[in-house]
Amino acid sequence: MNYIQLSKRNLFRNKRRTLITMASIFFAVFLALTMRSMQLGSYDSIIDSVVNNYVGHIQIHKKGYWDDKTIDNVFDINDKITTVIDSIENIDFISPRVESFALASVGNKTKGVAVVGIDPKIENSFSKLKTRLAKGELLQHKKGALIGSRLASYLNLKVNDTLILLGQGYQGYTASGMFPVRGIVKLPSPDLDNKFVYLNIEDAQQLYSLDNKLTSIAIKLKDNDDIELVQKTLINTLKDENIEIMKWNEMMPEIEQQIQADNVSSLVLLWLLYLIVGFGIFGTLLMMLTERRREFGVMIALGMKNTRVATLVIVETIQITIYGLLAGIIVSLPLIIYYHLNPIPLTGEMAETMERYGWEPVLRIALYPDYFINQSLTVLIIVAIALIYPLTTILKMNAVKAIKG
Amino acid sequence: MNRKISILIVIVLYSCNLFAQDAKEIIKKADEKWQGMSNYMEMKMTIVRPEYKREITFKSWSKDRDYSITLITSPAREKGQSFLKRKNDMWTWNPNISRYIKLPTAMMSQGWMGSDFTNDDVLKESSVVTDYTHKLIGSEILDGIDCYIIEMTPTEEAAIVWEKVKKWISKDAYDQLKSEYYDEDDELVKSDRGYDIKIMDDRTIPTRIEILPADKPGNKTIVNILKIKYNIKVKDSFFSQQNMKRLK
Amino acid sequence: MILKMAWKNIWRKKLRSSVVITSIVVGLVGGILYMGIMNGMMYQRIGSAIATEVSHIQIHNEKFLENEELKFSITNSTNIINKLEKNKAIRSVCSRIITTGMASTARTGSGVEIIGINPNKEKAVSNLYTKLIDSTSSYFNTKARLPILIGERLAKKLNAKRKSKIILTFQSASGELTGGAFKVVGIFRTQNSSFDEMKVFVRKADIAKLVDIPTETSHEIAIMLKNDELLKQEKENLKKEFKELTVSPWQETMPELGMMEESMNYMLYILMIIILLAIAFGIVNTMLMVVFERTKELGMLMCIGLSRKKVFSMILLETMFLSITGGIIGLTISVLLVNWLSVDGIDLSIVSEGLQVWGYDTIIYPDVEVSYYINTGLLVVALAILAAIYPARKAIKLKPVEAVRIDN
Repeated sequence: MNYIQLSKRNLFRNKRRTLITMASIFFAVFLALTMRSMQLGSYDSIIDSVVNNYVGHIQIHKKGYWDDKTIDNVFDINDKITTVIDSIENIDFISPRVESFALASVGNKTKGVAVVGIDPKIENSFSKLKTRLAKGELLQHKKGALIGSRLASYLNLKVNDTLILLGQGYQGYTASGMFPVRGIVKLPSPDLDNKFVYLNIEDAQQLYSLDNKLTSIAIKLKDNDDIELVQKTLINTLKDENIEIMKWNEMMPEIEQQIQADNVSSLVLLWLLYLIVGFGIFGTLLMMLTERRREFGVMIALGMKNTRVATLVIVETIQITIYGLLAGIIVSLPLIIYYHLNPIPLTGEMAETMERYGWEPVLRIALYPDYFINQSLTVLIIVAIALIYPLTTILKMNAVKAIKG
Repeated sequence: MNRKISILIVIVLYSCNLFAQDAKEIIKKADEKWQGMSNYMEMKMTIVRPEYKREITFKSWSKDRDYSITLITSPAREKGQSFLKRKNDMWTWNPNISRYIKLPTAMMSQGWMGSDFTNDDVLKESSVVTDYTHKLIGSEILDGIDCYIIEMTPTEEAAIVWEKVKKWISKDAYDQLKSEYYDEDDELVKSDRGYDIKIMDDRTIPTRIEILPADKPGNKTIVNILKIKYNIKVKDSFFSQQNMKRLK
Repeated sequence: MILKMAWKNIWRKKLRSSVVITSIVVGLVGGILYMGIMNGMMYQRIGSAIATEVSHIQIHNEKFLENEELKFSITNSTNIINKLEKNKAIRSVCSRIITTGMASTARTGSGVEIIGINPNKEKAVSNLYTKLIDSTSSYFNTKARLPILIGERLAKKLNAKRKSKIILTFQSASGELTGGAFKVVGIFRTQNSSFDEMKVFVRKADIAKLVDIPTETSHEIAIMLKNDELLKQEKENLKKEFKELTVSPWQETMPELGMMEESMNYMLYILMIIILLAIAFGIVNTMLMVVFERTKELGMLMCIGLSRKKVFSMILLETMFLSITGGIIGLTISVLLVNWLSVDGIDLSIVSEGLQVWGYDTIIYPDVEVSYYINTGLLVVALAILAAIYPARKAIKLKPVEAVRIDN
């Protein structure tokens, strides 16, 4: 018996019913895909704001630095490291840094500050310093400092004033220096805005008597998903160097935990939605059953076994499901891709608060091929479950009763 | 019978008291011998770490227990820095930035010039007599020298982090040959040792002191006294910010 | 009459109607419960922050927040406090001296914020005294000369215990470095680990003496209102009354929590709309099927003279009855469930690890505002009407003669 031909004919015969059933599946898929992309998108936002604003995807330090961030735990960026990094295509760019503490002194005010030696060409876009410049100009290749706006106001510093730094350098050498303030940036985190002093990396190295050593190299990848791979490669090729290679979530586990906790609640929501649309699908299948009761009765009366009828229904439903799935994916995919590339801007109070936190006030949509498959499978399972009742009814059907109505 | 007992008790108590006084006296004598009323010192400090070794030489003037000025004389990149202590405050002058900076509370627990001697130690060293109660707990022979062992406990009001400090003072010469610093769990946190007793100016003192942090076995700081002059004539006004700049 | 017909029609096909109603019930209950838990978590965190860490409102000298210096104290603080104590909306007030310094033990030192309190007044404002990890702690009822309360995280860092000695080093009013030897009389643990690491509490009189300022000096006045709802109004009143000072509600003192509160409200409604949309789709679909299934019956009704308008209304009413029934059942179950669960709370220990890091308690009390129920209910009705329109229109487009003929 040619189920496929028969099922196709059945589906065509009652286009309306077929379409309505397909629609409910389409909707399930569409809803699931858009929901999940929004949820995953928000995690992307969190990761982005952490990774892209400062930490980077991966960092290289001297072994032991992250647990003991002293100026003595520095390392040399030798040829081997440079060659290895150059050879990895997934790396977008790297930012070398010298980070330590110092006392800033202006007049008779002293304040502890965080000194960050950077390569301005790289860091200006990495940490978005360009967009955060409030006064003056960014660092260029002459000696100077870029300071946070709250720090500037506490110390009463304007552009072209002199900032004095005093601290302890490599191997205990005294670190001291004078730096003209070139510019003032407004950093989103009030805490950092009150503490950060950016210097040219050469100036920072000189200040702390470091020669060419660095405290860290921040690595930005082209794609969030390459982190594991690149980390592994770096670890393998550089295992003789006395360095540690850490992913952002190893450096900031709290953020990852927050995302995981959030993910749990997102999944709960997703399953709730599945449940609801599941009922919708069940409803349409139920309707189909009632409508075609007589039809099935006739078929059984004419000699078709109940099991065959059931199989026919399964084949029909599978086709409807596949078409519904495809329709759902075809419609959601372009939308998701579009909003993935053009995040939805948010407005109003919500946006303001986000900006205060250094978050871009946008709604991000994530694009992962994996979950297309996941959601499709889930919808298939839901359809299968929804079919149970109708199928059992068909199997138990009594032709005479069915025809009589 | 009763009278005899009470007299005995009084004698015992008196001698205990004597003992306590003795302990305090011993510490006082040792402190005065080491510091004098005022002094001028030239010293070399070697900071030893597993990865490196650094040497600094400096001159220092001090008076009473409250004032001191220190001038760094080598190496070249550190030369010219000076430190002023007046009672409870410490300032530093750095010629590279032409600035006086008052050391804030946050820097107190940092090592002075990167050594194992903290800024706090520098400020508090004057209080061995007044901030503690002292008890003679025994004697020991250290490097062939017979020493009193005195246990010092900070008074309730004293702003001292140690729970207990033990000092070995030589019986003949009142030299501080060893100190041990304990935390409240009775664990040793830091110790220092005095060696190389020589004649310096008008007295013999240990001329090499080693400071050893207990939790970092590869670390130590060695201070060698190269020259010392006691009871120099120096006015209070010598210890001023302006002078920090002028010293050579 | 249409009403009766519509109602009867629904119950003719019990299974089908139940499916629709169940989907609405499941959606509502699930959604409201979910919302309630999220809300409960948030309010729990905020509530405990207000009760222990930041109070409803704090007042400072306008220069103090930028620069925590001793000289930026609140002038006339005694008068201000008297005024506040007479304010009917305010439950309790306390004043604090604040300065920064180092807390050291033999092992190590750590930068801290030193808060001088009046223990009895403080108890009325902050419940920190209930967060001591050792229940035999005496709080400030002690003979210790200089008692201090430190957080658990700081205690670990400094390797300190109860009765440990902590040396506090700070600057006096004249700029001199000074300090004192304090004794730990209690160790607290709040839901905010950075609070536990940064803040130490001493007696106002003790710190005032060491720093050499009058004991009545006040750098911070903390206010607890009689209830949360008074916040908006009081904030404005106090801002007007004390123009020269900075009056900060908790949302400004802890902006991360403020942001959470703002975005949560936003979220809850969006979520409910999504859920209702899902439900609506199901309803539309099902009713469409219903209409087509009953083509013959509807055709007959129209033949015997029922106007199109009446048929339209009937379908509309059927949809509405289904939705409203589902809505009522759903809301009722939600209300009962939320109320039942909010008594003892739900234990979320299974997923608790991530939560505790963020300072959440593992027992959550679902919290749903009455307005939320009402708004959701109204949305369900609106949705029902909208969902009904399409099927109803399809119904009246049927041609009666053909409809009768169709042999489904």
